[in-house]
Amino acid sequence: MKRKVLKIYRLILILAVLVLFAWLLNKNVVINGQLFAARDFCDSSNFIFGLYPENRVGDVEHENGDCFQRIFVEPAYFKVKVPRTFSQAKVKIVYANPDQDLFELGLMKKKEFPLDWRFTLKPLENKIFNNLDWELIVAQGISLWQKQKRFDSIHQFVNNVPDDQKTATWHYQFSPEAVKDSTKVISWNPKTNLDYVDHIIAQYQASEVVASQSLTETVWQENSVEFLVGGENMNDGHLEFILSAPSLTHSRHEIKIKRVEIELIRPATNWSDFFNDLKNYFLRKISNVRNKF
Amino acid sequence: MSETSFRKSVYYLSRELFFVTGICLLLLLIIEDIRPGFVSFWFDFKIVLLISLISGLVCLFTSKAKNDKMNK
Repeated sequence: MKRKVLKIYRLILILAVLVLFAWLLNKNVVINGQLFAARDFCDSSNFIFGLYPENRVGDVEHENGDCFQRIFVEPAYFKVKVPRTFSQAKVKIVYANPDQDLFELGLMKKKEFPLDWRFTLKPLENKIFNNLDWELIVAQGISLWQKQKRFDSIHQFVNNVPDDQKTATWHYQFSPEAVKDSTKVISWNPKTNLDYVDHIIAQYQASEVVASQSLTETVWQENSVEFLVGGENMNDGHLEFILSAPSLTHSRHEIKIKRVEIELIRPATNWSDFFNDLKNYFLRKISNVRNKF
Repeated sequence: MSETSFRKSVYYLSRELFFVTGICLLLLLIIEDIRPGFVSFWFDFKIVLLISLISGLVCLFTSKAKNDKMNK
């Protein structure tokens, strides 16, 4: 009888260990295809690390219940540790940027050599556009500003890009067949004189104000950016992001970062995919070992 | 249940726990060594280490009951 009890007890323990291993496997393979991580600067996170390099950013500060890091010198970076590759990343940043016209977030490409700094930049904030008193249409993350209203929708504009007026693009590209006169389409930059521009189209949506601290006059805003990610963005098991605000250093302004959220998405794994991935993983490891010898 | 019998039961239960958690810890460490972050990213090793250590100590202190029986 006692032996039977002991055997059942042993079985339960082994089962518990197996459950632990299955849970770890599930967490690392991300079977459901979604991983969400957030870092509030009041707490630490296993996934999202603090801003660096140290000489460009401040320590974590606490102010009226808010925790944040300041960026003094741009660009600043942060890393997100990921257990495997994903196909899409949605990054949300909660920040306070009182002075800088442009604030962008970028995703780093895989470093091929030590000084390889290639990024895909996406806009977080453009105060120049936000302050325009032009007609604005926003749809599916794309914004269209018209000096004088001529089009009712972005769809209508994209299918009839005017060849008698000037259009500026920012983080947006027309398909070649959509543009009749390429001299009328220019790429916007902060030096572009908007007196000669009639339309602006950008893959950008103005950030939302989430809270404001009257004591410190801090206005917290948030904006989300989507990136396509893959193996070409993985740096030693990390995704590396850049926060860029051109001329921040020169104008001696600062930007506060309060919260970073990331949602990583990949197709949900089924059993055949899982075994294929496992096979590929071992084949890759074997070829790596072979290459070493 | 006599005291000796109770101690014997505790001894056997903690011995099983000690072996299983010991092997589990070893496996977790091997996996972590092969693929850094696989375990430590989600799970604190200290939990298994602590269970293993406590069960080992309990096993050690209750082993007298078993030895008494063997000596008789």
